[in-house]
Amino acid sequence: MFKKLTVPLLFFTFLFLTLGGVGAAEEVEIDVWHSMSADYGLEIIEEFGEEFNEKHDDIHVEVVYSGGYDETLEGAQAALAAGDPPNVSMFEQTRGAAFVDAEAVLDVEPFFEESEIDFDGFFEELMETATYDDTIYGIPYNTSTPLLYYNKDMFEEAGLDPEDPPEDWDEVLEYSQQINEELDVYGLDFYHWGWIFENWLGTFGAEIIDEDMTEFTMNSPEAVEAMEFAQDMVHEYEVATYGTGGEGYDLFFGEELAMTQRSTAALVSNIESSEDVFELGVAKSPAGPEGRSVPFGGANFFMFDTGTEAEQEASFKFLEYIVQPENFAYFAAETGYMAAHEDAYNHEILQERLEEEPRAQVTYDQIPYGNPRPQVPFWGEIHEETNWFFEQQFAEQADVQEALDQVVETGNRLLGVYDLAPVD
Amino acid sequence: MLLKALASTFDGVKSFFLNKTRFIRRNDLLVAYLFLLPAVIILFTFRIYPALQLFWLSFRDTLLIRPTDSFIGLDNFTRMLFEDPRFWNSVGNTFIFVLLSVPLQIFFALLIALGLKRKIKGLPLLRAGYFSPVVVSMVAVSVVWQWAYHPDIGLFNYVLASLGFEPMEWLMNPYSLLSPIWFRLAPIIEALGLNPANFEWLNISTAMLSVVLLVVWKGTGYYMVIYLAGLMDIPDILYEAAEVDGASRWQKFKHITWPLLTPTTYMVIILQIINSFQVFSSIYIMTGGGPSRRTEVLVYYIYNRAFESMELGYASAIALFLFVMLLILTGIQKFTIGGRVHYDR
Repeated sequence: MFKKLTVPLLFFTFLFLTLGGVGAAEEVEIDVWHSMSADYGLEIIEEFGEEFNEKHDDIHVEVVYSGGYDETLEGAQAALAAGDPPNVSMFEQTRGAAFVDAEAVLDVEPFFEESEIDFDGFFEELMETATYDDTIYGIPYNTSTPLLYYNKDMFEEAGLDPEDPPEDWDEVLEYSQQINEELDVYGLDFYHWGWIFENWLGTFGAEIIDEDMTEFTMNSPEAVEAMEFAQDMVHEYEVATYGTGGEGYDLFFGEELAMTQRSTAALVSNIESSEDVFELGVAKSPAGPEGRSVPFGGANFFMFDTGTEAEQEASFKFLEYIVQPENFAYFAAETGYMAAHEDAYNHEILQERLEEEPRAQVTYDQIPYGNPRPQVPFWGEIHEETNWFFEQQFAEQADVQEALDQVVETGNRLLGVYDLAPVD
Repeated sequence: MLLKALASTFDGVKSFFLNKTRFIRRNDLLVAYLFLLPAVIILFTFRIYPALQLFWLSFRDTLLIRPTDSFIGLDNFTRMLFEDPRFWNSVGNTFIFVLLSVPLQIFFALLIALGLKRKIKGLPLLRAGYFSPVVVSMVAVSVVWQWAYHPDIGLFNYVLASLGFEPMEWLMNPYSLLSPIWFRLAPIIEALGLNPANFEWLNISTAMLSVVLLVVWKGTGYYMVIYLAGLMDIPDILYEAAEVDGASRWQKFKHITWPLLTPTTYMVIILQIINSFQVFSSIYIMTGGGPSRRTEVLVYYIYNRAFESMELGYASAIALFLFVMLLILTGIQKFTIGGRVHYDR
């Protein structure tokens, strides 16, 4: 029975292989994973993918929404462990380090040598977020900073000047007290600590981790001061609330909360949500005793060390395409994310947008106070720990120092784990 | 089950060599093996191979995506047993979850099965109704229940409010009406020279109770069907005889139904305990182990270690612990409850 089939089988195998071979020579296929959901740039990146494919006969880009930052991270971890990572993937600011540690992503600098994009035109502060040990592994794409969104109508009703938002935390507390007294609503909300935690610590002069990444320092006296201040706003002064991020937004747009710290990435959708409800004010993130300090959030694009040279070049071509001044400016203007390149920032599309919508400018004004987020390969666990800390701090009203000590202990243990594991 | 399968395979192999007509039987056997092959391949790829790899990984310091790792002997296990309070917290939470959910499910499953055994109107509809939660995916159900538990717009608080009760923070409250037990216990634990911080899982949270409620609602239907089958197996003659003797309803249950159901109960308990120890998706979706790790169960902690801190080797060690614990528990059940099961009728 098998003999009868041998000849046709061989023939089809031959046919399949040769035809497949011809196809491969004509078109390079690459996968691009991203985490931008609807309202946060999904349509735009897909548009770029289609345009790019139309312009390039020899490359086919598959732009895939790989879920939120966490799902993308887990998906990429699994794909990498299975030996089949995507060509390009977007990683949230704190999550790229794991792939750098795994030596799975490419140094992007050499690719820029023959590129039309001026490599030095990327904002230095934002480029730092993609720099690990002096090597640049990522291209800043949908970067952001936290802003203070506030309800101008409520400010007015409470007898505050809507054009004079609070400058520092003391003022945030004062304003909150006045708003709470006059209108019986919350002044500020806290939601599970992520980058806002770094923002608060930074303004009090505390660091998450020391510069050489040998020790976590987020239990320093400055950090404790910052976190006690936040705790007091909720439990002593009772002018702030805490919960999940979604609940905070419900309160804010339901006019039961006057101020909230959110990403500039949500600018366009927040402006839409506030229409017909109240006038939305946007201010710089408040300063602390040590001035202003904002973490750069969002994500960068990374190229995996996978596939043929042609695939890697094609991947870079796509990244090059989306950071072209015109495209990058269009992306930033439509979303609220930052154009990370000066040519894109100065492009007329974005400049026009900033002129008609000054609230989109605030995040650029914050760039000088910006800091990259901690780059440890196990940030997922620290993030989980800070969420636990959040519950201790607010729900359980635990001792801030003790709880932070515990987070630091976990962090330092993991520093040990990751250093002790042998690296060839 | 496995032993039986092995034994029958062995019989097959034996007869293959001993039977005189083996040349005819050989073809039959080949066909049988071919039929078994897909199942064996799937089992091996998705069950046996990962299990063997887990055993291997639990002695290594493997990090999820870092390409290099090394053998570290029993380090993972010493850390787990002696240096990791979060591990013991998750063990405690798992036991609490099992001790709450297993008896409740058995109780309700038996109760509903007894009710549905009678010939009442709309029986098929009722049976299908009680069984329907079982067929829905746990993930989908968890998402729906998460909304039902929402403190502001959830169904449960709506019902509470319309009955005149205070709203509750179902999934977010780290304490519950059972907390006073813990507050009494804590000083005793301290007096015994132990650290109460290691026993905080005894403080059962509202969040834990909320998860248990969902799991009971979802799982009961399955065990109800098993009980129903068990009930159908009991001959009516016994009840008739009891009636002639003037036995009350309770006496009939106590002396006929319950004893004759013990094989069923035994099976239900074993299935349930194994299932409950592996609870994950409801916790993952609804609480993420919170608030304050009060619902962090073993499998969730394994997940957390493998994918958050990416300590795959350590996560494997904990998974191995779970495996061994389940093995021991099933063994204990076999020698305690199992000995009292009535198989003869």
